[in-house]
Amino acid sequence: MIGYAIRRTLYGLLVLFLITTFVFVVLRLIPGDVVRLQLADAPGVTQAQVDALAAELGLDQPVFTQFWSFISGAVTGDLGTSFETRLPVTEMIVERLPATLELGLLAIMFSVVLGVPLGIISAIRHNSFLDQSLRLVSVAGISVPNFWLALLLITYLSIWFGWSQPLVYAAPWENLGTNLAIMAIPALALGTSAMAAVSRMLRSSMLEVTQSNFVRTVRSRGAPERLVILKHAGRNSILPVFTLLGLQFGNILGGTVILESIFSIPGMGSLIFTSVQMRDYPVVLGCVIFYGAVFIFVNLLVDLVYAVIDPRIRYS
Amino acid sequence: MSHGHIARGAAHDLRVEGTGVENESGRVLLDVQDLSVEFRTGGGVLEALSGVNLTVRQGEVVAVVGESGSGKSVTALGVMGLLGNGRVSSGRIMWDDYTDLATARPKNFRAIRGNDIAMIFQDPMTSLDPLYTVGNQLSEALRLHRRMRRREARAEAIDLLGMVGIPDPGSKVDAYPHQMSGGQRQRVMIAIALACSPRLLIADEPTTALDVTVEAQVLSLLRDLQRDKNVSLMLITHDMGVVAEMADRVVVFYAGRVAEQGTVDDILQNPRHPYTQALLRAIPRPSTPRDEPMPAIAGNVPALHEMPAGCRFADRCPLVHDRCVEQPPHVAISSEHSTACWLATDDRSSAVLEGSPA
Amino acid sequence: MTLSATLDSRSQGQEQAPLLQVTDLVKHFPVGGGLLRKESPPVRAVDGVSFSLGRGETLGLVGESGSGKSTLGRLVLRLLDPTAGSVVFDGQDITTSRQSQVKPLRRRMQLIFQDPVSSFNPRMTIEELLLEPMVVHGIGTPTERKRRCVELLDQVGLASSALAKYPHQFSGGQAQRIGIARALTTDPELLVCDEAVSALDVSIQAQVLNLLKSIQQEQGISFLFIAHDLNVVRYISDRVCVMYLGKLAEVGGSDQIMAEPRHPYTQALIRSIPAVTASSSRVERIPLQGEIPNPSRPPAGCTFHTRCPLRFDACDQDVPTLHERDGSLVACHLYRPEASA
Repeated sequence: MIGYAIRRTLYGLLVLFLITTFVFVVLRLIPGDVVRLQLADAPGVTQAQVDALAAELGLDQPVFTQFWSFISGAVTGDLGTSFETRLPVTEMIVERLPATLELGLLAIMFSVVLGVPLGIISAIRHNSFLDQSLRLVSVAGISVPNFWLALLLITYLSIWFGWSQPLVYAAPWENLGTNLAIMAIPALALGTSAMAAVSRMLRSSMLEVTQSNFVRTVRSRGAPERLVILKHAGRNSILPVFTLLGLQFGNILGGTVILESIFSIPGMGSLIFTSVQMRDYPVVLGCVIFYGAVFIFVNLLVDLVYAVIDPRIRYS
Repeated sequence: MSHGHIARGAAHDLRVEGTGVENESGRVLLDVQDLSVEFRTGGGVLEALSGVNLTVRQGEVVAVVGESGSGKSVTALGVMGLLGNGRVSSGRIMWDDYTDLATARPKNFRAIRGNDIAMIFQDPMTSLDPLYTVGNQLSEALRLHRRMRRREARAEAIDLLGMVGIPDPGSKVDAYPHQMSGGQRQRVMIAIALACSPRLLIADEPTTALDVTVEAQVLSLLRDLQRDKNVSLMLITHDMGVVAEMADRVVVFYAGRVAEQGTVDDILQNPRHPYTQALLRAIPRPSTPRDEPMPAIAGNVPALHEMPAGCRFADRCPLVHDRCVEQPPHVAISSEHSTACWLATDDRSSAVLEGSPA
Repeated sequence: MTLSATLDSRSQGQEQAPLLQVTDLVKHFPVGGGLLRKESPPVRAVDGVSFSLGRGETLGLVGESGSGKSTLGRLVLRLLDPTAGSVVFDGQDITTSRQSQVKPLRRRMQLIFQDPVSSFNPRMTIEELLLEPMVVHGIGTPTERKRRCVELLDQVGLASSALAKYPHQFSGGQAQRIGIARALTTDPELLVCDEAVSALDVSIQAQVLNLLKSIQQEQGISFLFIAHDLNVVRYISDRVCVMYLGKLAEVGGSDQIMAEPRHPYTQALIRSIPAVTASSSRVERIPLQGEIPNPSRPPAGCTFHTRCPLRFDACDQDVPTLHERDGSLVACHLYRPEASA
């Protein structure tokens, strides 16, 4: 299993390299010039000033040389320096990470805590009115864009309940109440589609498992339904849910970009958003690589969890 | 009927004498009376079982034979209360003279299921939970019904695995099902079924998925355990060879009804229903002439939604005649032997019985 | 040498080349392997099998699961590429031919499965299913093909009303008849029946056996009949091969092999079949112990020695080869020519 994890990590690094190359190239293809943007493109700016700034940012070098110097830095953990703030990108990520991590975890927690019981109820009472309604809600949950749902929540919470969010962000260790009040709506919006997907997946996999021969065997030995569902059907039908969560994690990471911007949460998502606008290539690149690494790591974790749950899976 | 009853047969003969007082071996454990089962499907209600009567007595082996769709498995699942989207539409399933399983509450039923009545299934490869060790699944039954504690149950599980002939049970108790062969898994299934010393074991095609050499091992194990523990065995099978080898009495199903029942020799040596006769001829045997066509039964079993009103075998029967448009009664040939065929009424028109014999 | 006389089909006596000649066929399936990973020993599914099949002959192939009998059937049809050895169909070595050269041969050999319904596209009508092989192989004009469909259904005992129906509307026996009709669309010379009647009820099984036999008599098709039920195989086959762990244990005439099995495995196999006899003649059989070993780690010497009641020293080391014994071929040290002397 350790050999497997090492092999998977090596594959992951390869994928990460490909992502880096791709994003690096794409960023250079985006129209707009960071130098002109920083110099406000004023008419009085001389060519000499432009050249000097380009040289300072390293943009006078050929693209291949820039790529090479980025990669050689990245290997040592140096993701370059921001064009905008002149701070090391790694430092900026470390500063912004906690908020995003909190948001992502809250969203996943919400999707599991609500999605799993809903899926089980749907499966046990399949084809009942309750099940039909839950399935309808699921489809809606999957189809609604998260930012729109967030806006809807803000609007109607304030109209109906007169509740509005605190305006100034606070880190959880500063003021947990304020922090959660700010995080709740974006986490809800972010986790809704994952929650819906989890409940749908669990419903269908549990329905399949409860029809299987071994569940019939368990029932035949007089086991109460609680034992049948929770011990046997539950563990057997949760596996595909883990795979799904691994993939949904990508959606959630993507969703942070826009939701953090809407809610002014100082996380990596809003950092990416502003950096793209400022053509701050090193920051965007650094953040995307970081997101990629997290996604790959989470999915590796999912596969390892598989082996823990299912004894038939043995990685060698 | 041939003389050849071995020791166990004597008990039956005693009971047949019809003294009101039955000894322990003749005691009726399971009495299925006029059982009908229907399934709701998208296309309406289908009756899978119509008016089935059968009994299983203490310590005997009753083989239930029939082809696919004959209702033999539905009968077993009905007794176990595991009909899924099916339901008992009429009739009773009397357990040991005091509980009607057809109407028992789930809680009362659970106390009987797995404890007094246990079942093993056809496909050992899929009948065990793949995520738990066999020891865990064995202990589950022990802890449910015998209220054993974890360590106690584990020790008992090891004993049970040894009893069913699993080599090195002390380490196999921690094995997962996928680490075992089909034959070993079926042995584990038998161990689980016998964990709570049930009085009736229902085995639904227990060896059909197994290779013939392994089948012989499992049948031999079942026979030994059945004798040692004096447990009744309801053996569901399509294989007349298995019937001949294992059964005391045989119930032949056709298209959701009982066509004939009797002792194993009644059925194999002196079958009275044209279906039983044709079925026995259609089995390939070492002596079947190779240069002649097999004596097949023409046609197919009628589908559930187009069952004829009369005898269900009529359209395939070589002896079909006018009366077959009506449902034939169960005619008693002897105290144990009865057949649902009009032709049998000719021999003993006085002995027509409604319902099951005796 | 008498050995080849039994190993090869009886048609050789009639100075006619066999339709199918299989020589030293081997198929090993690799286990594991791939990038950055080492391979486990391969599964030796078929491990050096030779036989021949004459025109119009039926060769039965029996063995337990894991014996390699289904793999052998697929190798014969080149649905799998062999690891070594050759399959010669009507004079042409199909193991070394390119797939494009095999294609014209494909229409001359067909496969019948245990579960025909799962091999059919559920959204195709029976007519479409029957037409497909004819279209693929460019047989006949559209009108001729349609007529052929009706003829084939008639031949397998189904009404032409079946043409417009879908596979799921048929019972197991009827579906197998359609499977047979589909296999017959290309007028094959060889039919490989892989457990073709195993899933059928006894009464239906007898019907299908009769159908297969009558088709063979009318059209002179050769059958490779793979099954685990010895009684069925004996009934339909002229000769029977008994396989154990990828090797042939015994080959002989079908009546002879049932009446006088030589190999201890064949004997055990036959003894294991529950006989339909009266309770008075019930005998307590002593079942063969153990189960078929893992085909990726077959036992040394005779692969059956771990379960054999008659095992002696030589069995642990020497691999027995097929030797002729009273008209049968047996791979067992008990029947070595020097041992019998």
